[in-house]
Amino acid sequence: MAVSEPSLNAALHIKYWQRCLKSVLPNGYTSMDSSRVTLGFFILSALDLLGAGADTFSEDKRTNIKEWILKCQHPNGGFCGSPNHRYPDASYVDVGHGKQVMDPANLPATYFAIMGLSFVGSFDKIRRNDCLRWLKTMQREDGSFGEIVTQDGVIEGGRDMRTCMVAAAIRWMLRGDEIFTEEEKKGDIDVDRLVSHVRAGQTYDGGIGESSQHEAHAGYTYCAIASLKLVNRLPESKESEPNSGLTNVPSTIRWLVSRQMGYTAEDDEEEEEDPAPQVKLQGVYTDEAAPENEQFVGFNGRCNKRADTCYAFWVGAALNMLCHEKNTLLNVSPIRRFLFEQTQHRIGGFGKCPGDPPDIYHSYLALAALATMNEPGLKPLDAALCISIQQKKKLELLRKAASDWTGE
Amino acid sequence: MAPKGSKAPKARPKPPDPPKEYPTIADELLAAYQESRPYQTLAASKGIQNLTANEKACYAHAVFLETGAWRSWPAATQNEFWKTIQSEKIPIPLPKPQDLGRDTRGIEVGKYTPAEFKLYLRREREIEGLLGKTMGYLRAIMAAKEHSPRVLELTEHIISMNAAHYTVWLYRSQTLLALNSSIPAELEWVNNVALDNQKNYQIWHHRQILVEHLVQDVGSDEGKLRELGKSEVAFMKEMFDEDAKNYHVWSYRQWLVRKLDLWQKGEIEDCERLLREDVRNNSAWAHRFFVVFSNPRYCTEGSKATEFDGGIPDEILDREIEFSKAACFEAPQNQSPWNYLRGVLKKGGRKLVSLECFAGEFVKIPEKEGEGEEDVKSSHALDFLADAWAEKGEREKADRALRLLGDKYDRIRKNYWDWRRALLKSDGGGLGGIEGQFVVGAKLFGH
Repeated sequence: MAVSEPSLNAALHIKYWQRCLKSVLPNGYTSMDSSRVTLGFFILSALDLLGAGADTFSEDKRTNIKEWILKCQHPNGGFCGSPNHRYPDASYVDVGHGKQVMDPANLPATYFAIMGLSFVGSFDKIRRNDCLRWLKTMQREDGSFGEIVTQDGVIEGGRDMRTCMVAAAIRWMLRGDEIFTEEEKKGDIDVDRLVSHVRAGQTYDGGIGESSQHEAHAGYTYCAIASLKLVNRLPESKESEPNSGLTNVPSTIRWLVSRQMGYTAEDDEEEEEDPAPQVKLQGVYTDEAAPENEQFVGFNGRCNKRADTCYAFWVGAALNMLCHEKNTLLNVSPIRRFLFEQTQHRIGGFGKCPGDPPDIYHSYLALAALATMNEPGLKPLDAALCISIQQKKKLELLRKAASDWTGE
Repeated sequence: MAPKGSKAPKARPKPPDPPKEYPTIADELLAAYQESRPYQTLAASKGIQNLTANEKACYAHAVFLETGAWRSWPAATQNEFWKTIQSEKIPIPLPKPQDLGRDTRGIEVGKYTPAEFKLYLRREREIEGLLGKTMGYLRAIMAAKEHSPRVLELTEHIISMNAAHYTVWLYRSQTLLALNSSIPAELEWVNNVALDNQKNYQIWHHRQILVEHLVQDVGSDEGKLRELGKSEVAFMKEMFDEDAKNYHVWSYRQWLVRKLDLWQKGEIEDCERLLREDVRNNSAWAHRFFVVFSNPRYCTEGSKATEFDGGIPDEILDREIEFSKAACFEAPQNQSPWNYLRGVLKKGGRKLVSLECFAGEFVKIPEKEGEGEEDVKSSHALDFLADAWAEKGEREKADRALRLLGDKYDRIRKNYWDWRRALLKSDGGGLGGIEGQFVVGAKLFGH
């Protein structure tokens, strides 16, 4: 079947992201809610992937964004989701261990803030050692990480793979993954326990869930694999140490490729109606194996769920990390067609499902998914950090400069 | 309304000003207002009787525009009226500027520069007034570590506007416990919030704190614990009626099973009920696996979901296998029960080959290639057989199954099936049977 191949209209997407930049990112007076740092990261990184990143902004604009992010830095390390989530520095003086129950630094916000800074400035204003010390206090006995630590030292937040990935990324950005001296190890998070926590998350069907007792989910699966990658513990050969990250790599690959689903427009209409209860008739086949539609291939996040733009990234990037080479296990053309012809929006950006309006989250992950598959016109992507490889190299330089700066 | 820069009429008394910077927003709005009604200004300064005939006519039109009197006229008259407005280029008058009030610092908003005002408007829109103010109020209360009934009112109010505010939920639970408030009453309130906020997870964490506390209160009173379990399960049923795959609810349920020891109290039956409604509900399959293979009565502590566990009784393994088989028959192309079967076999240390006959029910392949049509009802059965045959060392058969999958029955994953074929050649291993013989990296793309 000869199907014409769509291509990336970079100018259209750059326009979309510049509009987002105008409406989301800061100016002197703007307040912001807790997700603003996250959205800021998506915008800066999307423009970078498209070759219109912060290096093309005016110096003023970059300084503005940098100062805005730094306002969220917590006096005791880490970042808050918003400058409004913290008090002025003076308020922190008399509270014992310096921890404030109301406005503690937040793990995901810290990740997005440091990432954001890497696009617009240097790391020299990050309280690097404080941040790493604080990061260590976020880890629980079982190896998992919380989102915040309260005044009483209680670690709050879930135990799932997202915070593991974010913690591993913060460590990678500020400390790196090289072998340390004993002195350095003392200040480090417990990598072995992190790995065993991630390892315990694999489910019976090969994916990874919130824990092994939950349903496998592509988002958690990606986060688990990225965590291992960022601490250099992704199994790479049969000689890998017994403590390497996944209990069964082939079954994870099997689970990941199973997330692909042929998409036809009728699927959607069916989905909207309530599925009729299936009558249980033993021995009677109620549906048959049929070649799935091959023109468009989307991804779902869990078995038997709908296709959603973002899973093209979570699944594609996870496979990319497990397989080293680019996604040869995936047939790229129908995936591109699904993204370009079904979820891409006329005004630029991508929606969650076919026909949906674009949003920042799905638009970014669609670009990231395409970049993982070597889309012409986009910078190649580093799957574990979810930024361009070029930006990853810049981060390494920033990290080096910052550790020289603090005399380490 | 006429755009600010609309051209002045011929008889306009003053030439139009070039774009001008105004010191304050009030000045700018006033100027725009005056600019939009030149004839009214002219009449006020010269007196109506001193206007030329043309100016008088324009003035009358402008007044009609300003008062809206033209709206009640017949259509033909309205047409005439608008023609004149256009030909004479009479601007449409703006409404008189209102007092802009004061900002939170008590400064008159009218005194902002136009640029400041633009930012102010944007900020106001963002804070959405009320939420910002209430949050500020709560912050003050939290700083004073006050735990009082008004905290409950305030947090309820904030949660009704933004249920995703982590610290607000935390402070609410601390206050509830400090005040010794009724937890059942709180649970009832939380039920409604949860039903309205399907995607929110803070609610479920809050619920855990509440139930944890209730369990402590109840102590070892079996009857009361049973009641609690029942009412929680009943509420989750309500949630599942909305979305039977809600991840947060299932997460909470797994926690509850452990907390209240619900392993053998209707959990399996509940999964079955949900699967009867939708046999493709993978969340219900996953929960069943948890309930069956994490039950401390017979499971080995710490046994991973992907590992053999010698503690599982045979009759439980048999029961689970029969249950999955029935579901495969019901919908052969549903991957959930096929995955479940593999999981059960793994737990029981049984070989895939033990179910070769069963999987063969869905796959008829002629002995020799090219002799008649094959009949495949399920690509998952074919995948299962490929692994079972590899396990037995029947590589040729396994390879043919993988080829059929890639070429015919599951073409969207052709690359994957090809890779599996390459793996079969190099290692002789299927995925289900032989593990640990796997080399990620170069071999992955050996084909």
